[in-house]
Amino acid sequence: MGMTEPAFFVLTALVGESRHGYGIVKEVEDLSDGRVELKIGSLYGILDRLLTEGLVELDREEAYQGRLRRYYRITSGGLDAVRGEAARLAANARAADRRLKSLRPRLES
Amino acid sequence: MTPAERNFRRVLWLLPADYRQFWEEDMVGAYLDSAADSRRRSVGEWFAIVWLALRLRLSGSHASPRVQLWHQTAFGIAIFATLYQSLAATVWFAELVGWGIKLGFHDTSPLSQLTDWWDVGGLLLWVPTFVCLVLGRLVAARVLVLVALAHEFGITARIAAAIHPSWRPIVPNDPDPTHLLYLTWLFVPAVAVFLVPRGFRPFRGWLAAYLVPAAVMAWITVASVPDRSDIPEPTPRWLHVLQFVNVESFLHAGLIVGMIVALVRARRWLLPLAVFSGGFAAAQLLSGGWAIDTQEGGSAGWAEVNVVQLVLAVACAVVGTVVGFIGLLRDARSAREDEPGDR
Repeated sequence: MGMTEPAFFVLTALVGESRHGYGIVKEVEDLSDGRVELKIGSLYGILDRLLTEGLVELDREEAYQGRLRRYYRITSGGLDAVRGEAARLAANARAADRRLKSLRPRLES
Repeated sequence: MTPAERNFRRVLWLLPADYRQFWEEDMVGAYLDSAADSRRRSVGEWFAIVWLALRLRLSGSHASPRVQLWHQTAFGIAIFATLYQSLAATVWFAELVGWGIKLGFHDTSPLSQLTDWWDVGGLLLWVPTFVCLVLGRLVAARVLVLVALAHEFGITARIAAAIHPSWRPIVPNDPDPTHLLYLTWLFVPAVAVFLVPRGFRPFRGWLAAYLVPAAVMAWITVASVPDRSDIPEPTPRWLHVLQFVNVESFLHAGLIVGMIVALVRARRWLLPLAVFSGGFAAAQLLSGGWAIDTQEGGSAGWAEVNVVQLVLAVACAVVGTVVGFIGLLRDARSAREDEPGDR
């Protein structure tokens, strides 16, 4: 079964760069063109699950304005999950595209 | 500490203690970062925390074994209630078809007031709801149950208003509490599709739990409909037995057999099945469901008692209580054994 869209975006946001909580929120918003706006409660529900499943892990902690900021990074299992989900979504998009292209000549005729 | 941070920390107290211990500081930090970005501060953030707390406490890995046990039991009771609603809708539809076949599908049918497509289709929505639930189609099940619930509220209000013109739905001091009781009961099956516990696996075997009783009960129902409404006697003699072996008797007998099977083979469903069976039998006994309707519209004494149904209802209540007690002891023991592993 495919993963949820917010979880997919959270994992994608961590590809290539570790990020802290609000950094993930902003990156997800950018990646989705503002369509997915994660609430803090939703983000940490997803992070907790991804951490339990071993798709994400703690990278480091940094001091910021008197608080410790936790940074998260994607694991190799997480990368596989993103690749798998991206391939599944791409296959879906190709199938829809093929169907739409086959419709075009008939509409034009 | 700013007021925003203080308020946010208060909301975080809704989360399970172990979860809060691990995530709180990080969540507060992320919240303050987002609050600094003024466009992101909203009440929606608080609702998201409330929803997260609800999910974690009910079905998440952070619920204690005891909470998980209660959740599993509540879900089990609700799934049996959804099954019951599906069977009840099927029996009602069979009765409608039975009257239609024997008297003709016209205005003289006793159920003719409820025969437009929305009435029929709406009540039958419980069947696809149950099917979608047990096959794991949760989004479809959730949409269907909301429509079914809205339909039941509408139709119950119409029937009740026809019987009691002064009746108004959802009024606390309603003169006929059975209608309010029925409407309240409908939330039990509705709960099933919204509180599916983590780890619930779709199981096609549930379909047999609907199809087999539905076929038998539909047959009993159709066979029980007299050939003519004004001359009930010319029905075959053997059909008189159906006066005693009716749908409720069959359901009680099925529940007793189900509990015995669950006692041996399906321990996970034992407690919810026992609670549902005991509750159903008790409701039948208390509401006088064992009485045979007379021409005057009610029962007048022991002469009108359906002995078979009364005995089966009592047996179902007794077996439900005993088996429920056994199931409770078993589950409590396994919850105690799991307790040290709780995070």
